[in-house]
Amino acid sequence: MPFFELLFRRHRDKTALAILVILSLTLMLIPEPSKTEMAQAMLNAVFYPANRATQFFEDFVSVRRENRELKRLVASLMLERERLNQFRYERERLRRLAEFKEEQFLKLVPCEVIGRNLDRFQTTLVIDKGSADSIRVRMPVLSYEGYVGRISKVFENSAWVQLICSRNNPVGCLDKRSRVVGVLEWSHFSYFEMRNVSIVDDVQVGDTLITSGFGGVVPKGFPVGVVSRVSKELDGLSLKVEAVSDVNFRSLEEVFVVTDRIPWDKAIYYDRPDSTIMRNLLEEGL
Amino acid sequence: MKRIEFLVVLIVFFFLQAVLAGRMSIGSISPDFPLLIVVYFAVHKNSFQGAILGFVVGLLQDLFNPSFLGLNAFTKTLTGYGLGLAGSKTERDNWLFLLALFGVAAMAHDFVYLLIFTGLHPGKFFVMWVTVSIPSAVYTAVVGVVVHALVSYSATEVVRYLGKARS
Repeated sequence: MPFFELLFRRHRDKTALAILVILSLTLMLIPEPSKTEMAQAMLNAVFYPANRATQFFEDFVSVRRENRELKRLVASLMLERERLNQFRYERERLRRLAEFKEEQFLKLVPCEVIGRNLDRFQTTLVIDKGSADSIRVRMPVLSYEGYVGRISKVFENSAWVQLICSRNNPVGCLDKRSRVVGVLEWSHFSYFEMRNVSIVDDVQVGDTLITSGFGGVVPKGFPVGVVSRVSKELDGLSLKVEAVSDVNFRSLEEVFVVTDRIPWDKAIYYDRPDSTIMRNLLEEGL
Repeated sequence: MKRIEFLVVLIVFFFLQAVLAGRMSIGSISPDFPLLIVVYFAVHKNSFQGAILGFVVGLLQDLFNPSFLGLNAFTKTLTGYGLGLAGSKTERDNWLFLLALFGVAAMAHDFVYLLIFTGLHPGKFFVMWVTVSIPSAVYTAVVGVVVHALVSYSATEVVRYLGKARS
């Protein structure tokens, strides 16, 4: 066995390097679904418990302050909701009179971010809700600031969110002011480019870009960025529209998954004015 | 180093990356703790162990970003191997040398990483290289030297304490 001795004794460092490089390149070349399956199996075994523990301690530190702020916020929102209810009834009556198509509202599942890839060029998050909470692949994910991505992989009690700051996750968008339609693609950091914009289209710096809702997957009207620069493309036929997102993708802690659309008149989540929680909140004072 | 000790150090560094790196980040610039562990152990061991360690650490990082599974494993294997080769010729306890070593290793690592990550797109590569990689390399180098100083100091104190306890 002189050949093996040469490989694994005398040149074992070079042999190891060659094997590991081939293995790494093979991992890079295998199809995306298989990559995800492999990574998830190992991730669940190694990192999930550690992530949960870390998250628990981090949450514990801020939970008291956050709770007080949230109570205050909920109380003010309760009162605001009561006021909006009046407008809702009135709006419903008017819509019926005008025979408009029934509008739909979103059913949101709040989720906590329990993990994120450790890369500086990160593209995915792990959330604490999965198929047990009706989460499905391709469901849109929102944050307080707007649309952030879609579900790419679902497990029983967790799911992966592919953020829009990924090369393979473009989103249909439109200019809120001029209603110009385009496709928003990630460029780098929080910067995006709006594609398919003609030279004659009216897009200006400072315009807000919102999701177009075309295709029916991503809900319409959620902000995805603000136009930061507009210039002519080299072909002279289209505009190069650069946009910057308000979302800080590196510090997302809570997100909302859109699991369903429900009729506007049924979209009442906390309509219990006699509930103990609301009474307590109002008694505590805003 | 025994396997269990290595495992503990590995977990500690990943914990640092998960908890501290985000808090220590300045915009997109943050220290790369997994790279530090690869560099540090590669120069203290040899190219064989450096390559293996680089692969393991890189693969663990890749698990969080399966779209690019294998990319960190690839770049860190090369980094570990290269530094393992240079290991015996380095002045491992000279902090100025370590500062340069950590910085150059981080830049070399990011160079290969970004070439593949950006799909050889020169514009994106240049922007990320200049605005993230170079400042991150400096940051990683400074943090590396501080961690090295802390570890050396702690080890000395532990040895002194044990010596006193025996006598």
